[in-house]
Formats: sequence, structure tokens, C-alpha cells
Amino acid sequence: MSLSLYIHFPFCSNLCGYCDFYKQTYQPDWERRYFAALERELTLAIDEIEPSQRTLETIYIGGGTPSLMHLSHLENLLSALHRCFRFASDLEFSFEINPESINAEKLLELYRLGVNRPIFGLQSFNVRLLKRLNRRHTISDSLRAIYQARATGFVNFGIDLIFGLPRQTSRLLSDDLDQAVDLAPPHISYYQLTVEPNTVLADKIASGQLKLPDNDLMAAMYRGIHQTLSKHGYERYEVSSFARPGFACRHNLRYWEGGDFLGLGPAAHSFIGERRFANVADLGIYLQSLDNRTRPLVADVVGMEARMTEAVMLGLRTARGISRGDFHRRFGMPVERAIDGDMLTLLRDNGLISADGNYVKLTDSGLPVADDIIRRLIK
Amino acid sequence: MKNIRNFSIIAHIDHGKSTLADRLLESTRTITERQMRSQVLDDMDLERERGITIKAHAIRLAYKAKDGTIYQLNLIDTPGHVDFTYEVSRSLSACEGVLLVVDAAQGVEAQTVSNLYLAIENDLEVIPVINKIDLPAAQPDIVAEQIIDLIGCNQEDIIHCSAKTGQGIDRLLETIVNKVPPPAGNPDRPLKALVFDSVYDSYRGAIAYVKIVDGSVARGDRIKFFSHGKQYEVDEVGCRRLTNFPLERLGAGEVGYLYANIKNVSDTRVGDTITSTSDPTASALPGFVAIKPMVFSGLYPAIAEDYTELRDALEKLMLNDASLRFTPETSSALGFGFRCGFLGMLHMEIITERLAREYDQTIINTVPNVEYHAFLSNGELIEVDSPTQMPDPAKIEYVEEPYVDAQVITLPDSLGAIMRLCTERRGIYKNTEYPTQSRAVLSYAFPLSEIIFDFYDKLKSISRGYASLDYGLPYYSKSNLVKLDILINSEPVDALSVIIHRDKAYKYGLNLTEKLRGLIPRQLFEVVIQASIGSRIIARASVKPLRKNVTAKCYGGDITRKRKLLERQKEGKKRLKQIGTVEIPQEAFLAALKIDS
Repeated sequence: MSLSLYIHFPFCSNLCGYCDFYKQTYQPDWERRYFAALERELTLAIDEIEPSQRTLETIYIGGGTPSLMHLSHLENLLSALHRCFRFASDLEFSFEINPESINAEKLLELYRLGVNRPIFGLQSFNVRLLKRLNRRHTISDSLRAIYQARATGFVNFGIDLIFGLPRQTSRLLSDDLDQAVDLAPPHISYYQLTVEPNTVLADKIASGQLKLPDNDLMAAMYRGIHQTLSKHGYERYEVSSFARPGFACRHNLRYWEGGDFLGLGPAAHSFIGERRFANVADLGIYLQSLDNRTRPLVADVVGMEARMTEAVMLGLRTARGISRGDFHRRFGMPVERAIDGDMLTLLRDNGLISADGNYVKLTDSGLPVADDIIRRLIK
Repeated sequence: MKNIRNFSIIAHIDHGKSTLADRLLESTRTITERQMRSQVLDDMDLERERGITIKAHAIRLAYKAKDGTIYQLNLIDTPGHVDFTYEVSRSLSACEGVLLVVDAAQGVEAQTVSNLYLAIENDLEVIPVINKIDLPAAQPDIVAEQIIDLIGCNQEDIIHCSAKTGQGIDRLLETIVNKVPPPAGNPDRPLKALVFDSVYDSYRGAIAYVKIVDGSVARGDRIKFFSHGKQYEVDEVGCRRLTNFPLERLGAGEVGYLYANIKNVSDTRVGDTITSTSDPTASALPGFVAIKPMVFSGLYPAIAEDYTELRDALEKLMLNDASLRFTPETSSALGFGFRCGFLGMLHMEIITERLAREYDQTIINTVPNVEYHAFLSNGELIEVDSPTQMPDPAKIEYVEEPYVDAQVITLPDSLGAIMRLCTERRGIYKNTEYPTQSRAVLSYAFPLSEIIFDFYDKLKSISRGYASLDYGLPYYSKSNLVKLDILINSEPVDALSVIIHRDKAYKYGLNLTEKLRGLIPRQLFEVVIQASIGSRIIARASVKPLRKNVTAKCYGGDITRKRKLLERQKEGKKRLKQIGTVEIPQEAFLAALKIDS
């Protein structure tokens, strides 16, 4: 059995008003201490992984803003990883980049280090909307970064976009879509803006300063994105993930299909051998704990029933759906045992779900309301 | 016996009855100033907050009059709300006199008048008192005119006082002693005692407040109750000062309390007669009525699992509230619950509030209704205290609903608005009288269901607080009533059904379906809300299906977060009621309570 690796880089140059990922302002000194701790964590973590499982299929470095990192640190980290793991020959190595903190030189260095799937957090091509999100980059930063990525020789790369922004109209969305399609990246993650509690954005919405598009407009926007991207050869393989054939993100698919993954860095989560655990979301405690040679882990005891809930919840978010075969192999019972049969029939009669053949999956009308469907299906 | 004076205070809410009682206790040194809490007679929290007396008590004062004699004064407190008219009548029948207390600024109100009539029917000596003469807005002369019109006394019979400052209190006490006659019982005859109140004590059981009419009672005596015949041994007798004050015996004419290890207040019914088992009196005192609830509502636990807890709580409440009734009931929408009967809306509010406060029960209650009489074609009478019990219209010959004769007292300037309100409430106009130039008394017959809910509040608001309402016991009369059902995706929601006059059904149906549209969240499927009478749909509203609800990101840490959310929602599901495939939040049921009929 193989493994996926996630590394959380918890620094940003500025903090965006909508983001609730764990991060803090970038400081070189803290970065040094962070990488030292990361290597220490790796040596502790590897002991708990079966030797047979020490082949990395995918690596994903996310954040925060990984493109802020000093790449000499990454080089050292990779040497350490090579000492612990075998790298699969078709290793997928994703790395998140903000357009304002990248240049040709850095891209080339990433390429040299083995990154083969840079992800650019472009969010939007509209200056006003970017400003409203408190993003620092300009449109030319975005275009330049993509151009340079191609010039460097990256065949597989992705862009992240957001829709459903305060005061965004269908017109503005379609401008964004046109630009995205013109750039022709192999992968697009198109996320609806999530208002996370305790963010600046949440406060502004609560106080009425900003207003989100209503439910019907959100639905229309999502439908428009699906239609436009399909027309241009992108396949929606998960709620927010669109890819040209062969370019789906293998790392993310592992999350959704119940594969094992190891997470390193503060706030990173792991799922190994049907066991979930997470590092504390606090850089100070993380560093301190690793100074004492212990991983700052918080275990999340997930019983059989909860794992079946997760399998249904994650499976239904993908275009493929829940594989009856996989489900049975994992839990020793058919998927129907984990869901409400009457509700399933009703949803099928209303064209929201299809349950024929080997997969139980949501239809194009079902996927946009997946949360409600999942809530009502789960027993 | 000749030194005993039993009296009560008749006053409208806020006219200062409780403050006056406090002042009497203080002036006779029954309690010291240190013990003085404001309004000591009302000892339940709820009573204190609402400023109304729910349960009557009796308190004994020793008063040394100017003639040097020490008198035993028993002040019997009465509940001040129309829900409790029967209790008032029993309390009054334990007295020989009443103080008619009228606010110097507000004047005479309907509640006062009807209680005054009860006192006069009982042949009680009436001592008129104008209170709050210290208020800047006081108009003692005008109020005195009203009182003279009402009881035909002389100007100089009226005592002017301020319970707040203590002015006039001495004269009042002297007048009580001089004017209220001593009780007229016979100490040598067999025991005959009137139960005029009862309270539940969790340690000692039901405590009966009694007036000894004939004979006497002491600890160790064997007694029995006339209405149910059960026998008990007396554990303790005494009177109330600030706390219980045990006595050797209670003799003829005296008022006090009695413990006899009685488990349940329904065995110490107000109005019942107590006598001795060895030497019983021949007949009971007149006036005992087993009171019947007038308002009914379904009470359901918000979470189905709390059903047993709710039942236990209701049983405990019934221990000290003989007028509360409940029977198990099932609703397809709300599950298992209870159909409860109450004396009136205030009583219902008090019970639901006590369930929340004292027993931590969150409940959903259905729209309250009165009891209807459905007469079938075959002559059979069906008593309907819940809309679901209404028989098939095809089998019904006619339906009767309770009516009451009511008096509204108001200033003449808001007469027009009040009459419009009365007409809206299906009032049948009888006449208008003007007892004084500044007061109009409107007489109407109303369907009880039209005035028990929010009529009084409306009346108060359109008359800027001046109008007051009182009504007597209900009687049944024919009416054009229909059962209105609410259907959600074609399934009837029994908990939302109401019985309503045909002329009002359409507007009600429209309002409720609209209100529900706003309260039922968008779901996976369209939700159609309809109001119907029989098979005829009279109103319709729909909730469009939800178009977008899916979490954008679901990676490493999100998975746990999202799963935990699902687990919490699964818990929350217990609070949602499901009709077919439609999930209905509790607020939707509560909204029905706030619809204007």
C-alpha cells in the first residue's frame, strides 16, 4: 500500500479576509524553526508507518503561501523525504503558489526539485473583486505566472478560482470564465466562496456591509461554470474540481476515495489505517512539542459508523460516486446499509441521484444540493 | 367569636391591593419592617413578576382597636384575574366584609364591578376605599362619584388612603372593626368548614385553607370531605402570619390552615366542606362546583424522547393545581403528547412557563381552543376539545360553541373603536349603560373563543389602557363553525388544524399559509402549503426547492469537520418535525399561535 503526503506551510505575506486556514505572517526566522521541526516530525512519523507503505504516490504542499518559502529549505526537506520514502515513478507533486510571490527563477527551481503540478491561486480576474478579498496580486501577476509556468515546462498545472463573491454578478462571472478558458490550464478548481465563521468577511456580511448573491443566483453561477467548462473540454470530477482528461488531481482523489495520507506541519491532518489524527493548529505549540521530540497530535477516534458516513459523504461529492465494490470491501456490507432506503428511492424518482450499476452517484441536478442530499441520506 | 373580622380586598390589577395588604400587616405589627418584602402575599416567583395574584392566601392580623379590644383580623387574599372567578367566589364566601379598593387615578374597572357583585350576592359588608390619593393624577372626587353610583353609599363612608405613604390606614382598620360583622357560626354544632383554597407543599402534601363555619377542629381529629368522602386524621391546624403559626384548635368563625397528610390537591377542592367523621354535619355548604377547564391545547415535547419527563412534570404540577387536566394524545406531526385543559389563557401560560422554569421542559403547544359540542344526525352529542375530534361534517347536524355574557367598561371616547373590535369578534350587542358621565358599560354576548386569546390586549391598546373586560360562566349556542386543515405536500398536519367560524376561515388560512411559507426553509423538493375546509382548498403557498447547497472544499481537515457537522445535524433532526418528506422547524408550529383569527 502506498501513501500520500500533505505538508502544511503556515505562513502568508498578508492575511485574507475570507480565509480560515491556519497561518500567520511570514518571518524568515520562524520559517527556519518551522522546517527544523518539520524534519523532526518526519523522523518521528516514519516510525509509525509500515515499511511496506513507505512509497509516496503524491505530495501536496499547501498553506498558507508555500511560494513564499525559501527553496533551500524545500531542498533539504526533500532529501529527508528521500531518506524515509521511496518516490513512485509517476509521483504527483503539487505545490501552491500565489502569483505575486513567484518568478521565473523560482519556478525553474521548483521544477528542478521535482514539483510537477504547480497550483496558482488566481481567485478572479477582476481587480475589484480581488481587492474585496484582500488579495495582493494584480491581473498581470496572474497572467505572467501562468505564462512562465508554461515556459518553464510544466505540462500539468492548475488554477484556483472563486465565485459567489459579494456583489459578483453573472456578467462578472462570465468575464472570469472567459479569461480562465483562454488561459487553458489543464486543471481548474472553482470554489464557491465559503463564509467561514470568525473571519473579517463573516463580520461584514453579518453587519450588512457586504451581501452575497442569493441562492438562485449562486445556483445559476455554478451551472454556468459547469456548462462553460464542459464545452471547453473540462470534466467535473468533483463538486469544485474540473480537469482536462488525465489531469484530475490524484492527491485529492485519495482524500475522497478513502486512501491513506500523512499530514505534516501545524494543523495538518492524517488518515492512516482507518485512523484519523491531526496536528494542533498552533505554530508555537507545534515547535515546542517537536523540540521535545513529540508530535502534537490530536487523535480523532472514528468508529465504523462514522467512517461509513465519511465514505458516503465524500463519495457522493465525486462524479464517479460511491463505488459499491470499494464500499463492500472496506466495510463488509453494501452501501445501502449506510443510507436511508426510502430517501434514496425518493431522490432517484426526482432525478437527483442514480444508483444503478456499480456506483451510487449524484446527477447534475443533485450535485449542487449535495449537502442536503447527504444530510438526508445518512442514517 | 365577636372579636373576629374576616374580610377580603376587591381591586383591579395594579390598583394597589397587594401594597395595601402589606401596609395592613405592617400597621398591625404582624410583620416587622425587616421582614417586609414588597407584596408579601404573592409568594410565587411568577406571581411576583406578573404582578398578579394567582393563588389566594389568608393571613391573620392582631389589631388593638381604639376601644382597647384586641381583634383577630383575617385578610383573605383573592386572585385578580377573570380565569379564576370561581376561586374568588369561594374566598368571598369565607368573609363577612370586603374592602372595595379603587385607584384614585384609574377609577372603577370591570373586574372590580363583577367581583363587587359577587360580594353583594354573598351579603358582605362593603367598605369603599379610594387608594393612591398621593398620586399627582389622583381624582378622588370623580372616583368617589363612581363609587357612590355603584354601591349607593354616602360620601363620608368612603375612606381615602394611600397604601404607599400609610395615610388613612388607621381609619381603615377602625372601620373594619366597626363595620364588618363578626362571623355568625355556632361553636356547639358539629364541624362544618369551608375549603376556600388549597396549596401543595412537597413535604407535607396538600394544605387546605379553611373557614370554620360551625364547631371546631383540632390536631388528631378525624375529618372527612363531603365531595369525595375520603377521611383523614388532622396533623396540624394553625393560622398564617408571615409563616405558618400552629394553634391548638381552630374555632367557629376562625380562618386558618389544616394539614392532614393529604397527598393531592385534587382532594382538597376549593368550595368543598369538611366535617367530623364521628359527629358529621347533615349537609354541605352551598356553592361547591367541580370547575371545568375552558381552554384546551396539545402540549408536546420538543424532542420525542422527553415524553415521559413531560408526563412526570405535568403530574407533579397537578398535585398542586386541581384545575389542570391532561390526557395522552398523539399527533402525526408532533408525536406523543398531552391534551391539556386550562381555566383560561393565563392559566395555560403559567403552566407552560412553570414547565419550562421548574421542570426544564421545552414544549410545543398547539393552537388553544375551547370545547365545542357537535350534535350528530342521530342525536348523539360529541364533546370536542381538540380539532382532530371533530366528526365528519356529513354526520353533523349542528355545532354549538360556548358563549359568555360580557361587560366592557370604557371611557365614552373610545366607544366606537371598541364596538368595531367587538363586532370583529362576533360579539352580539345587548346594550350600553352610562353609570356615570365618564363611564360606559357595553354589554355583549361573545363566543368564548373570540375573547380568551388576545381580545383583552387589543381592548387595552385601542382604549389606551382604560377599557376593562369581565364575563360570566359560559353557555352553549349554535354556531357556523368549520374545521380548517393545513396540508403540506397534500398531507394534513393535524397539529395545525383549527376550528373556526366560517366567515373567518378564509383570512386565517391565507395568513397562516403565508406565514408558514416564510418559516419552512427551502428543501430538496418543492413544498406546497395549503389550507382546506373539507376537500376544498381555500389558500395555497409554496416554498421553491433549494438550488445550491454544497460545501465547496472538502480536504484533509474539512472531512472531520464536515462529518461532525453531519452528526450534529443528525441530533438536530430530532427537533425537526417531518411531514412526509418535508422537514418543518418548530417555529412553524409556534407561528400558528400568533395568527390573528
